[in-house]
Amino acid sequence: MFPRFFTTAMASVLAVGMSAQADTLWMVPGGVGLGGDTLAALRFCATPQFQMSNETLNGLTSSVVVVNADSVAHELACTALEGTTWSVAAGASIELDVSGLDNATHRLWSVTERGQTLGLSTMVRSGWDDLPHYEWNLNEWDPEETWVLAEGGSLDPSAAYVPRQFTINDLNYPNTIADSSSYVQTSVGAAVYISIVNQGRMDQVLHFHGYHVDMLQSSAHGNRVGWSKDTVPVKAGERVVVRLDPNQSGEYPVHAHNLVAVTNAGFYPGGMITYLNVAP
Amino acid sequence: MMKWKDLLTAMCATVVMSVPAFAQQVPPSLFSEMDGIHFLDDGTALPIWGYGWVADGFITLPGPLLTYDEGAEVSLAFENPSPESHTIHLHGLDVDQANDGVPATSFFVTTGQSTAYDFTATHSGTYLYHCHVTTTLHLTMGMYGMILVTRPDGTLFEGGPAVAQNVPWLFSDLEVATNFDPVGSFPFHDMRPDVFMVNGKAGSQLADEVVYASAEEPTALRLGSMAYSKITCHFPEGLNAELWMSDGREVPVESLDSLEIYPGERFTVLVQPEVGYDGGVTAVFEHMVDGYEEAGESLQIREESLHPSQVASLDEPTWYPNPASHNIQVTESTGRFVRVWTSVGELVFDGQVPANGLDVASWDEGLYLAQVEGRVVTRFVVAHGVR
Repeated sequence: MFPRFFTTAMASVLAVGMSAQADTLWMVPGGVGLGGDTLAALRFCATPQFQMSNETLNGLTSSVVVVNADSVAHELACTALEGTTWSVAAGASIELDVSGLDNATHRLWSVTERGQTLGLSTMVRSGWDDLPHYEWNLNEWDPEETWVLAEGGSLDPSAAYVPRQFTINDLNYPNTIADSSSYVQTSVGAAVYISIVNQGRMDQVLHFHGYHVDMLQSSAHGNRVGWSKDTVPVKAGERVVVRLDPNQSGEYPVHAHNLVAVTNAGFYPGGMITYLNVAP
Repeated sequence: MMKWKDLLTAMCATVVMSVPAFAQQVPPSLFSEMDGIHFLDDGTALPIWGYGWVADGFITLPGPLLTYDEGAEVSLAFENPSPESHTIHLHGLDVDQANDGVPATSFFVTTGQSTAYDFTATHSGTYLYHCHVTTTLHLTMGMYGMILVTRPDGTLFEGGPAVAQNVPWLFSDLEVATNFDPVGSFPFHDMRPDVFMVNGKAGSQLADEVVYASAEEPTALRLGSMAYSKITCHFPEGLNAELWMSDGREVPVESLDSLEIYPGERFTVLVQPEVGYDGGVTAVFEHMVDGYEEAGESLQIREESLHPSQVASLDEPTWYPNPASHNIQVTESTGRFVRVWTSVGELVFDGQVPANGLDVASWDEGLYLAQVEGRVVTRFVVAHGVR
């Protein structure tokens, strides 16, 4: 039996960037270059072709078919249906009904060590579609680990975890500002939503220059919904939605304030930095 | 032999106290330097970069506490005589782009330049400031401090509770090897802090730091983090801790037994201990990458009736005569312990001052830093033959 997320119909979506109402996702292996490193990677892709960044899902009105184009089986999980996972053999597919979720941002990912380390994890969101909605998937990477797993090995649990690349939508700064889903462009008085999912293993914390944002969702800090913050923790696996209502124009960075994460292979500036560009 | 006038001149040189200068000066004018020294708990003289009051002429770790009234139109003067460019990012104050302190979008303050950061302190609350040039390095070298925006009527925010006092606790950390070798410190993705501080102090340096809090009116703990680590504060039941604000904004009130503070976050926690309470807050530092528990610091809080003399006055002690050649007296010292350091941080006296004063006849001539227990750090000069 295929898993199902019971749903209602969605209104039109003001999607930006790469998110899509895809009806099929492929789990595709490949390789990426990040900040001087080369990494093995797995991505949820919109086509059978490997793509740099995971395809996100939003506003689905019907089910999505997930095809495992990797060479090994994966165990998938989605926060929209806690406590359940689905095994997908190599070459097989499953159908997920992720339409009609309430206002919420969820996470769809492979819980296998290989899938998690190689970055097979994306965002499934619904609602808050009355304004432009940006999507930031956060992650961190240890290139050596990706190659160990890509070559069929397993990780040494006693080895230190030392990620050296840090990304928003699988891109690190300065490439983040070329990504229309992470680089926010708006104007004074024109609010936007930003969904943030920490797909990595370590906690992150983002600092917004120039503005406070309103917390609409925080899966790890439910008591913070309604707070106004300029520095927003996003724990490992956490899903956060904020509303930015700009009251001044200018160009302001948003970046991790865990400062190891604003580096590329140790060098600043890099990693989890993007910008808010607010026109008068 | 150095003359006493020379020594007074030396007081304006860049020296660093082992105790942060948490006192506002007027006018508030900051400068930056890269040749400071901060003394660690084990006596290590650690090189730091940082901010200080222009009027003082020395930098501190953390930088001076900046305090402003809510609604104030602020022009923060800043001079940079140091050999590299710096900025001041006013973290959380939502200033305009030109005053944001990010070099790529505003401006550098290069060697020899002076400038001012202009902003309106729109919301009462707890904020931070730090250099945003090569932030990973400049911040861990010590270029940060805390900002408090308060209301003249003593309330936390409009319609909020009045507080008896504000107690700033700025959490931070550093990696000793980086401070000794900042150029060779890369890569930063594997930063492993090994000193964990509250207001620049760690371990036994915090032993004398006691907050005396009223049982009748709340004390506001102004918590902020410039650490690489995650901080978890644990509040014992007898403190009656409540969370009231975060990031300079009011939040729904909630009772606290613990609170996580991530790098860059700020919280205002009100505590109102029960009569006779003698305990405190434990702050646990955890590495952000792997969750490794790095250190714990104890911050002492006592209900004020346990030591009423401690809270009766925070007058600055006066050393006299100053300069002194043979014997020096100090006010505000009755029954209190006194520590005296040389200008390079060597502890030369630790005890109670005799009734006839300290005998400094055999001390080297020079500038000394002194702290009467529970009082601010002051300075005096020993210069033989001046009297």
